[in-house]
Order: sequence, then structure tokens, then C-alpha cells
Amino acid sequence: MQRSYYDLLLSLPFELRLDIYYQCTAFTLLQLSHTCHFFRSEINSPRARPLIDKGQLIGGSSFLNLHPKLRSEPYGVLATQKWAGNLSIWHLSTIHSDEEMLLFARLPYISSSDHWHVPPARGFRMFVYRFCGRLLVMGACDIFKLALVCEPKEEA
Amino acid sequence: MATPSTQATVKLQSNDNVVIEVERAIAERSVLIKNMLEDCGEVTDAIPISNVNESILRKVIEWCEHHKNDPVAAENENDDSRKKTTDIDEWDQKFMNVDQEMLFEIILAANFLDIKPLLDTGCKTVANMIKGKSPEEIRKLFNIQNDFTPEEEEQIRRENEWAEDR
Repeated sequence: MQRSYYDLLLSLPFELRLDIYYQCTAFTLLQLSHTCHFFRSEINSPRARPLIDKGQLIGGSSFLNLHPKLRSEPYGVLATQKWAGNLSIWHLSTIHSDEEMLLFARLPYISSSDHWHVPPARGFRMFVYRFCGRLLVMGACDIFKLALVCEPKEEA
Repeated sequence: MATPSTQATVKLQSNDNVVIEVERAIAERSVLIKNMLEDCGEVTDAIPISNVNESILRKVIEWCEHHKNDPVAAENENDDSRKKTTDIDEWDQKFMNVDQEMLFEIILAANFLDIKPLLDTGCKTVANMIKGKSPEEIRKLFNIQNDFTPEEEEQIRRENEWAEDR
């Protein structure tokens, strides 16, 4: 009987799963950590955590690389609390690809807005995803945030 | 250290006792084999590759043949300087288009034989399979049981909610 990916992944030594985590973008790893207890605890374990804390993941960010303004009150306090916890959307600096952009827009904890009647151009959205991730995660810019929660299908 | 050998080919023996003769330069893509040959000099007997069966060994050799002219990473190259991108070249994508069991066997073999670029390609392939998928889609792909309680789901939602707009 063929083994499932899950069994195969679990049969790998931890170091090899760490190699796989290392090749994931921060956003991909975040999704994997939300699938079950095993991945959530392993990805946030002290052995895997340096990948996140040092900002080594693609699209990941080191807290110390944040703009000083974002490290100050009141975001700084909140960011510090979030940073100390499990891998979360707060550890992302950018969204890396079109696929991830589409996923971001349909995540359950990102509520879509009905205030935006004309979806922004795709190029603008990509700019926001790729270069302003940190600002939007901080909720610091309403326009960028709205650009991200527009359903991509409206664009066609 | 033994005197450097000029032998052109080496024999590799899989764990199911199949002997495969391969160009030395190709076999030396494996750091494990390279070090072994450097230490032993001329090797006439087949080198046992105890963790790898014939089909996987042939697959690994195919990869090494295709990449035999690639620059070899410096020995002291650390993890931080490894190429970090999710891009995989077209040939490697086709090469990795195998069933799931074989994909993981290739990763294990690359790790055992110490072929870092092949290991990276295998890991990137798995990473790319997950990319762009929601937790629910990843569960379906990997056959993972969602064992979070509603309280834990709520905790995850709280961890990831956006900051209040100011």
C-alpha cells in the first residue's frame, strides 16, 4: 500500500524536514503550521525557530529589520508580543508569488471589504504584496489593506 | 591520504546488490563518494551504497550526469549562503516529476550521499507542492487530520488577525 505524503514527511529525519521548511516561503510555512498539532509545534519548536527569528525564510522578516517607527509605540508593543509567539502573519515581510497573493486574499482571517467597488489594478496589487507587506500586516495603511482583500476574481 | 587515482570509472552497489558502473567525475558529485575515493585511492571493488536501492541509485546517477559540469559548492559553504529561491530549473522539474514515494526516497538518498544541490531541489519540490495552498488544501494533499480544537482554531485566528486600524 502506498504511504501518504504525511507518513512520508513524518518518516524523514527532523533535519530533512528542516531543509524542506528552509525552502518554503514564510507564508507557505505559516499555512503548513496551521494544518495540525504536529507541524504547528515542530515549526515553532526551538530547533526550527531560528529560521523564523533570523528572517532566513523567503518573504520572512527579522523583527530587528523593521522600520524603527514600526518598532515604537503602539505597534512596537503589539509587534513584540506577536513576534515572541508562534509563527504568524506578523513575521511576513512580503508575499512572494501570484499563487500566494491569491491565497492571501481568501484566507478566513482576512475579511474582505465591501467598501472597494472598483478593484485595483493587478500591477498595483502586486506592488503592495511584494513591497509593502509589512505595512499592510501592521494595518498601517487602509488603502493597501483594501487592495489586498479584494477578491481577485472580480478583476476578470 | 592515498595517492590520487586516475581511474575513469567506479562501481556502485545498491542495497539490492545491483552493481552500476559510472564515470568517476559523475560519482564524485556525491561528497560521500568523493571523500571515500580520495581516502582510498584506487578502488576496484564496488562501493556499497547501503541505504539506496537500484531504481533510486539510477535516478540519482541520472541527475549527477546531467549536472556533472555544474560548479561544485565550496566545502565551507554554510547554510546561509545556499541558494534561497523556490525556482527549480525546467530539467529538474521534469526529473522530480515522480511519484511521492520516489520523491522522498530521492531526498533521503541525496542526504545520505551528501549531494546538496539535489537535496535542495527535492526539498524545493516539496515546498512548491505546498505553496499557494490553504491549510485545508494542504491537509487534503498530505492526508493530514485536523486535530485542532475549536479553541485552538480561535487562538490561531487571534495570532493572525491584523492590527486594528488607527
